[in-house]
Amino acid sequence: MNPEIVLQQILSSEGDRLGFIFQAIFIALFLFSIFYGQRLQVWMMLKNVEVGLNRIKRMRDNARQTILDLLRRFNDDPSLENAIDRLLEYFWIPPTSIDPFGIVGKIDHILNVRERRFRWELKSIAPNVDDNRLRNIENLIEVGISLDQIYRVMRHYYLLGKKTMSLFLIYQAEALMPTVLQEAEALADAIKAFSTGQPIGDGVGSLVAARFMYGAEKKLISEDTVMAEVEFEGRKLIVVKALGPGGNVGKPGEAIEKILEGRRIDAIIMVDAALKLEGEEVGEVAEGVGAAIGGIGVDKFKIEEAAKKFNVPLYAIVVKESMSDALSTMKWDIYVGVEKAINRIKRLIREKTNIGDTLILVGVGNTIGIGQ
Amino acid sequence: MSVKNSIGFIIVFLLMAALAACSIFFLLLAVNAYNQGFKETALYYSMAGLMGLIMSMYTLTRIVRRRPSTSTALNYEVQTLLRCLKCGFSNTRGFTDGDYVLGIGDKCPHCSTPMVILAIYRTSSKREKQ
Repeated sequence: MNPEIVLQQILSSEGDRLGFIFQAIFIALFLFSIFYGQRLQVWMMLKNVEVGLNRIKRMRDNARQTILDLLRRFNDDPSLENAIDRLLEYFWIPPTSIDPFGIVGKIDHILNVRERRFRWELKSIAPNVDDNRLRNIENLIEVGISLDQIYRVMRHYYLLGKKTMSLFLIYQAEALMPTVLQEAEALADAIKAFSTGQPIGDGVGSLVAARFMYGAEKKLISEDTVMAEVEFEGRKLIVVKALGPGGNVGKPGEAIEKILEGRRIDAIIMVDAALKLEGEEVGEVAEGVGAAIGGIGVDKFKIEEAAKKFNVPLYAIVVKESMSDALSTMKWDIYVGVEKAINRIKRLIREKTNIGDTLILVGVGNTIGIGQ
Repeated sequence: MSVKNSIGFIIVFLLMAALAACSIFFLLLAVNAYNQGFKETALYYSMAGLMGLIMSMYTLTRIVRRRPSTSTALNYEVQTLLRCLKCGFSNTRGFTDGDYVLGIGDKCPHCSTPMVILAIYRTSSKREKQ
């Protein structure tokens, strides 16, 4: 068939026939969009959720494999995989909040039980592992648990949306996916640091405290928490941090309670990492008042209670970083932030305390890869 | 899930590729019709061709871009900065297992005193540069 002739035939058919065809196509498309438009939109959204879900699954599988490879060095038992899967599904049930009175103590108790049980399980899997590495593996498994949890929850909404074809369910899952992915990526970034024992951005507070206590005599003040007394321009500084270089956050709340009950303190300075807002620079330092500590809130509650009871002012200094920076190996910008934070602390001490005063300086954060 | 996903991907990809081909054909027809003086017909064809082309390209871009990407993990190198507290000599080398900040590192090449690890830091990764 000659294409020239076909073209002539098409072009010779006047506007009527062509107009009819286009109108028919337009009506067909219009009807299609009325009856199937939403379905097509739902299908596209489901596909987007599925892609995100696959990425989270890869991150979760990668974390599991890293844990497995690391533990295989200490235990070559074929049942190791089952043991790891059991640990990855480990959960804790928060106490009831119908009557919130005393809930912090209950949370503290349940978390302590969980921690002890977790360490016991790990010790039974790898009995020859040293304490520092044990803490790092514990942190790594926590990352694995978080990724597994994220994957399961998103998969639940994906499958539920697919089953019910509910636009609102799928829409919510799709809308949440970018932030969930960001969180999952931050956790995935932590795997390398935790498996090799490198310092992470969250340890900025610990590093500041370590710099102050370097060379001084240290002693354990509470579980996984050390303190040292140093002199600074005529003031006595009691520096507290988690015991490093294993992955620990220690129990700063308990440590501060103990110190305050034992002696007169004129001020408490807390240093921690804080999540930066978009547009802020990594390593920026900010200053304020209050208990600079994250987590579930048990330590924060204890510190605030103790500070109120003994009427001690609480000063806070934070170094800003993103979630990914906080969980992955420390960036150079954060070390620059550490220097800035140290200078701020020195200035704060000079401005807010007198010669002869006693202060507590608490470096908050995970001390993985940071000694003292 | 992956097999279903790939079949769906192929079907949509082929449909959109066919639509793109038809749209290009319509645009060619529009050019010919315009050259032969059928301005109204050329307008119809060009509208249909452009609409089809935009729609197919938009959908193709969306489905191709959301194909599983390569590893999302950060890819970076880790450096260890050591300093001799006696003579002030500094050295940077790759991170080795067992290094930790404020820990004892290699011996100073000048005075043979064990150096202190001052920092363990990562270089910027490709993802961060993007």
